[in-house]
Amino acid sequence: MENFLLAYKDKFYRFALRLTGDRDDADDIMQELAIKIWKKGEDFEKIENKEAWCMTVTRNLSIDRIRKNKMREHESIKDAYKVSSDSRNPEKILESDDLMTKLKHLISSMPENYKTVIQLREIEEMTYKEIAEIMDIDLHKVKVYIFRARKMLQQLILNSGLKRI
Amino acid sequence: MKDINKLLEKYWEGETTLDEEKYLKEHFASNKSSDNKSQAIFNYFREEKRISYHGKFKSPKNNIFKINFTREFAIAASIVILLGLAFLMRNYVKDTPKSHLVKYEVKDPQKAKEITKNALALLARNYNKGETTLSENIKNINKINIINTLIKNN
Repeated sequence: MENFLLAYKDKFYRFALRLTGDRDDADDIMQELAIKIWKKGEDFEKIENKEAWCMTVTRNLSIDRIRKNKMREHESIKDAYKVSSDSRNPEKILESDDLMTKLKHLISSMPENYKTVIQLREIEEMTYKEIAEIMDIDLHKVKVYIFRARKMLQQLILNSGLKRI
Repeated sequence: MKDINKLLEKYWEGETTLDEEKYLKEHFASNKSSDNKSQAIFNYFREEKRISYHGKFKSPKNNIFKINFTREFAIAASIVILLGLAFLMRNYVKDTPKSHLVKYEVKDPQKAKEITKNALALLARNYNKGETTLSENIKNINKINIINTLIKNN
């Protein structure tokens, strides 16, 4: 159990970080994931695709976290003035000089489904079948999401000024 | 050597295989390309994969122990509070003097009947009074409505 977690921890962390856009949130999600695995006990060993199971749990925990953060932002007037690190504001994206940061912001500004497929396909190099299992959708939908996410990335790059690099 | 432009075209259409995508990544990582935009994207993907987790897992066993301990502590605390309340209630009931009620007690049945009759009569009087006021108010509202309708019609 522990060996499995140690072997895949980077992948789970990258996924949580991609979805939440916050290191502290991603850290917390890693701890929650470890607890969930431990709570499963012997049943965890019976899971056929442990990696996919953990990725699904990581995704669900991240989505919960994003929702809670959004609710907190709505509740607090103070927080309403804070601009989150994922910067949905295109001006912020343009202000950034660093190419990697620019791309990170561009992807962060995408809807959750597109962020997920970009992380799983482009960075983790997973097959359509694996992505479908993690997202609990059919293969066709995965292909559609990947196509749309790439188109969106292409469009965002054109609009953000990255073409001038 | 594969045609990079054709592969890129396939990539943006979402038609490349994993191997072809790996080939593109390797190509842009090792060659200085004139296509800065694509190079930036593939290098970004490669760089992102280097992110690793340096945090330490708090022993899940300890965490679970803490959770269980907290839960058990809460249950125990609730039981203690309930027992305490039960004890206090018991003492309160036992110690409450009934003497202040004794003075209102009517022992003569005839007198008790009389008092009850008077109380019911008082209740009926007040009820009738309330009913009359209500019907008068309804009449007034109806009058206002008729006036409003006349004003509107004129």
